[in-house]
Amino acid sequence: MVREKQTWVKSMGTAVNLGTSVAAAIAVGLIGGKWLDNRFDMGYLFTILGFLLGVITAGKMMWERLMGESRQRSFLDKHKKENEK
Amino acid sequence: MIFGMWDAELFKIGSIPVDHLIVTQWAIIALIGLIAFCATRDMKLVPSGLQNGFEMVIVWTYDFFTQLMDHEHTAKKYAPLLSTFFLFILISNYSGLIPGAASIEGFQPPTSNWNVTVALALITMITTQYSGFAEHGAHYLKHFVSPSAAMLPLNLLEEITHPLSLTVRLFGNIFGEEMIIAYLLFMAPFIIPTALMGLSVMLGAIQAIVFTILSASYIAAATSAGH
Repeated sequence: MVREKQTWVKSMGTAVNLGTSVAAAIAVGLIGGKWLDNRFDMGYLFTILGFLLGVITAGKMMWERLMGESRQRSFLDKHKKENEK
Repeated sequence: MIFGMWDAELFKIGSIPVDHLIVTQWAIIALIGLIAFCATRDMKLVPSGLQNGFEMVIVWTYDFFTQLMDHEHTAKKYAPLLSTFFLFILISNYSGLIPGAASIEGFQPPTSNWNVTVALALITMITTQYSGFAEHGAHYLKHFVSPSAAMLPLNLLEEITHPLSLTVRLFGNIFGEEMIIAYLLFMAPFIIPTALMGLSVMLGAIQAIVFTILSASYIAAATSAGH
């Protein structure tokens, strides 16, 4: 029951965080890359690399959240079954 | 002018300019401090009145953050900071609901200014890194190269993303809401903006809770055994 109470608080945090975190990761990569291009006069090289880095980081963050939620779900299911026994 | 907000200088302390946002923040800090002082100046074993209410809030926040952060010692250590974040952001958001706040200079909520939300997010970022080092010592650095050294750029970018995400969300929501109320007041001064102001009460509380929950989850992640 305590665990179930924990999940809604954490889930709310995860849900509201995911969207802005993904956008922020891509924005940081893109802006950082653009700044490096302006500084070293490299055309669009760092902008593209920064964008890709941001996209990959966003993907990594989403994957980690998904795995975290999945682990929590199996933990809850396991406890539910044990309680039913 | 920063992102459409007034930033007129009110006076100077030495060479440091002080604008209305800083004065509003001082007023909010004084208000929270005054309530805390009144509630704790004559504490009794069997609480009553304001002390009773304050104790109830403190017990609730400890319980809330213990649920969120898994470890009771971490929750107790950081609950004062997180509770202060919540109260400060909540009162800041609501300060924009003072009648005429959206159209009178000097009454905007501090959280509708980019500089204030950046400062709050930086406090969270520094606390997160501090809590990681305090819990794990130099081993905390290992999480930057976890699961392999090739992940270092991604992990560093993720760390930078956290404060930016906190900043943009709080600023964007409160600033956007203030602007909409201001335009509505300009176009239809009576009745119509009331519905949106009612929504602002809910939105202000949600944004304060979200900022606090996320700060707590970042600190919990830094102190967890996974690092």
